[in-house]
Amino acid sequence: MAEELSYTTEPAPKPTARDELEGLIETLSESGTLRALQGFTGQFAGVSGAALEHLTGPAGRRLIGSVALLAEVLSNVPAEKLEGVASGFGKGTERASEMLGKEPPGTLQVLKLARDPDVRRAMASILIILKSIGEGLGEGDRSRGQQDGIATSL
Amino acid sequence: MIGEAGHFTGAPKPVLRKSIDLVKYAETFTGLGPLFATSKAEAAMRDETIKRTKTVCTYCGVGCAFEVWTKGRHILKVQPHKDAPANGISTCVKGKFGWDFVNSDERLVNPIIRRDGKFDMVEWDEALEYTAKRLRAIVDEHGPDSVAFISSSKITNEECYLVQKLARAVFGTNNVDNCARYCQSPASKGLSRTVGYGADAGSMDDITKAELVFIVGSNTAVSHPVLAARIKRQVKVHGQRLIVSDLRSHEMADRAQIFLQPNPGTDLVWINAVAKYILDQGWEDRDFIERRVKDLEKYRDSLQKFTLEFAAARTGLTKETLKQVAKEIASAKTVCGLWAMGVTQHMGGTDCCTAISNLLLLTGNFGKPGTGAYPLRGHNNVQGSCDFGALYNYLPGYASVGSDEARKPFEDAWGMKLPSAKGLNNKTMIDAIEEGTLKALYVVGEELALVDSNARRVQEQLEKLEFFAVQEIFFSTTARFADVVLPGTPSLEKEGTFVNTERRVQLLNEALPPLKGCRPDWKILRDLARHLGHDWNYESPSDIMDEVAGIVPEFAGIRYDRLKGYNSLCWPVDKDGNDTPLLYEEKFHTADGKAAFFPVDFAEPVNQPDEEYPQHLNNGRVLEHFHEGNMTFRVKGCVEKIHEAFVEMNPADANEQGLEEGDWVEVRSPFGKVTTQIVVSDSLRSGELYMPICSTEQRVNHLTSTKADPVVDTPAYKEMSASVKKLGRRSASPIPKSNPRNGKPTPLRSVRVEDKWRRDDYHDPETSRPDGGNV
Ligand code: SF4
Repeated sequence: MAEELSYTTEPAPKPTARDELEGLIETLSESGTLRALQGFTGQFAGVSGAALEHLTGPAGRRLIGSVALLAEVLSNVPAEKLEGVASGFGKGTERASEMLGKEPPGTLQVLKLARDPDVRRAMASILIILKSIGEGLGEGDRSRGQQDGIATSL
Repeated sequence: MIGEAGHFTGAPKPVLRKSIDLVKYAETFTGLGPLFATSKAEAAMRDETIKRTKTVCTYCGVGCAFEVWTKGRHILKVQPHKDAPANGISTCVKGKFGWDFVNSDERLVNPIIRRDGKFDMVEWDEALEYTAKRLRAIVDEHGPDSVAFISSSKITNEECYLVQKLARAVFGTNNVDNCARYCQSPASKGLSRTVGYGADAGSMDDITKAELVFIVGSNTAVSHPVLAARIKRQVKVHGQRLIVSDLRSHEMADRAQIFLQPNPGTDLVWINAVAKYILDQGWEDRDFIERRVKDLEKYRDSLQKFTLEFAAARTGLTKETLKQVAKEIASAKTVCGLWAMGVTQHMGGTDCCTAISNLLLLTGNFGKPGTGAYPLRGHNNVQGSCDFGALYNYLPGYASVGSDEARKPFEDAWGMKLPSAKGLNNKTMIDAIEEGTLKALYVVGEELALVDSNARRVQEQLEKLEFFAVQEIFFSTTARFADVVLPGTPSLEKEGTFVNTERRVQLLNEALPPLKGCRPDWKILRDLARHLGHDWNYESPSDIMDEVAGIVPEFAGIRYDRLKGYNSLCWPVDKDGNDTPLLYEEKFHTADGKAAFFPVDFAEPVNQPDEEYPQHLNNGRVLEHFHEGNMTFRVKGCVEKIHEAFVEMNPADANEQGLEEGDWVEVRSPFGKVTTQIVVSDSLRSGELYMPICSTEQRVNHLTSTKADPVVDTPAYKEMSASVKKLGRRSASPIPKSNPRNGKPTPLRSVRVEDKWRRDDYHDPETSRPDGGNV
């Protein structure tokens, strides 16, 4: 005689972060990434030492400084303004490469090219950029002079 | 599923929005190239974490095959594939989205044993030892026939084979059955009486090839949606003729050139009348009958009473309609007859199935492409449950238990003598509990406390068992009466094979590991046999299939390596792997290779409407839920479409009783009552009611009777009368606005791709069909 009985099921444990971690470890292992990582971490001191040695040398410092400066300058320039210059540069490089191995153009041909409105527009842009660079360099000199002054006064 | 697939698709909305804006901004400078490259890289990363597994749908008998994509235990999506033999790139809403139940919090995750008026969680060893001991003790005291087993049409062939082997080889009883008893056993019998195999005569390709299809008692568009889609296409695009007979007008009826709405329970009458008219006109296929069918004269005599006048009076159809149907069937070169539970769940279910088979024989519609009889199997593996021997009268491959010759290969393979007397079936098991001769029952995944007719009586009997074990994935209503409940696994967590309605054997692979604490059902059965002292050493389901293939000639060539990918085999399959999508091309599956007409008479339906219960009560499926709904009511999307059963009523009847959509009513029958809501529907005629069989609480089987077809004991679910009483409360309609029933299908004849194909400038694409898409 078995009378009707109720029963509340215990929910099965949901997959935890630990389960996902296990999955990740397995994937890393199967793909070989884990082995590479192991090699890297095993040699961490050596690898990082070598990397730092390069980065703290004069060339490394220049690289870090230039990248940071470039990033700062680029972050101030709206991308759409750079687009025209960048795409023109790309196309120009392509066309210029077509001239590789050919006879260089004669002086007259160069002069003729210089009368092309697109060339004139580009040259004007370059000259404006050069002017700005010059101004920048001048400002750099002035500010360095001031800094030197401060340093001197200290 | 949403938000699970990609590495960033689960990001919080504001983050996701900003990321999208950033990408859009960057795209104007970078172009699409780098974005596509990033996307491809992400797709490759997804590939690494997403597992794609080919499986077979767990719901209906169409047997759609597809890939299921999973990430950990998350089920990401179902992706059909052009190579899937039954469905190609199609699925229905259940196969596509109906999988939440797999990760439901209500899954059973440990065995439980009834002790001191409650269920205790126990370890597997203890549960299996306890079950073995109790069953053994009962058999020792009362003999082998005091225990019985019910297999499931949701489990695999290999598991069904083990259930019947457990009954026969371990306990020595043929008391084993499955839910085909509730649905298509009459069809199996009707076909075995006439043509041999109790199975579909051909494949779904044959159905689509047929010049004419007639469907009796099946709302195929909701019960077998993908097959229905194929038929609808043939009708719409290729001019296939369609005749539908049903009590309700439904989507298939709307598409039919001829729609018959006979009086309830009278299909046999119009079928026999059509057959008689064909014979009277001399329209039968004489050549086919002379060569291949016996007993025409006996059949002709049996039809004498089925005149057009008699049929018109009894069915309510006009004589003209009957003549038109006869002419259509006799003149079509190829005809397929399809039917489902509207035919089988009657007192005369077996005879009606036989009548359909007779009619197809009369018109020469067996054994050639585009012809045959097609009882549409309801569950995904109800065909396999029967094929692999979960039957009280047949061993696997339909070897009769009473035949020494048929039993011998099994006795040789299993090394023991097997019982030769027929056992108990689902119905007689309940009777035997009532009589006190059946003491113990072992049920695998069958919700008989709800799906058997007159469910309250079944529940009362289950309470009387000395020992009751249930293998289930949820704590079902049936499990409430159990002494021990063993947690099995759903189809996504196991390997094995299913047989769909076309006898097609397909392989399903394990998409997810079994939920912790659960075991695939074949392992539970194997381990139980071991606890009972039998050395069952199957290491995988393919070991089981190899054993079956070694014994049953029909399955001799079924091997897992032949079922890889989307390969499939329609049994009979010879040793070399040649299968038989179309049966009876040369001969019928009978002793002399000939089919036989089997005369059948009409039996008046029972439980007819009277003064107290003035309306006929019909029942059936809805698209969004499967059967009683134990799985689909645990799927959020399906519940949003329909959250509970209801009763449909004709507008005139509703008006007369002062009822409106959403009104709460009490539906009463001589066997019980349920409280439910009214849906007003003009798909029914006045005097008829309809309730879906799916429900969380208000079960139509609280209203059905114990009356059953006397030949095969299938309950007469469709023969019931009821009354409706207004309760004076109203809620929103149980069918929400978002349900497709409230939609309007686009009345396009087709998208007319043929016109495009005919154009001079059209070229076939390099790959002929889409492969189902990529990540
Ligand atoms: S329920 Fe049937 S039609 Fe729908 S996907 Fe599953 S097998 Fe196909």
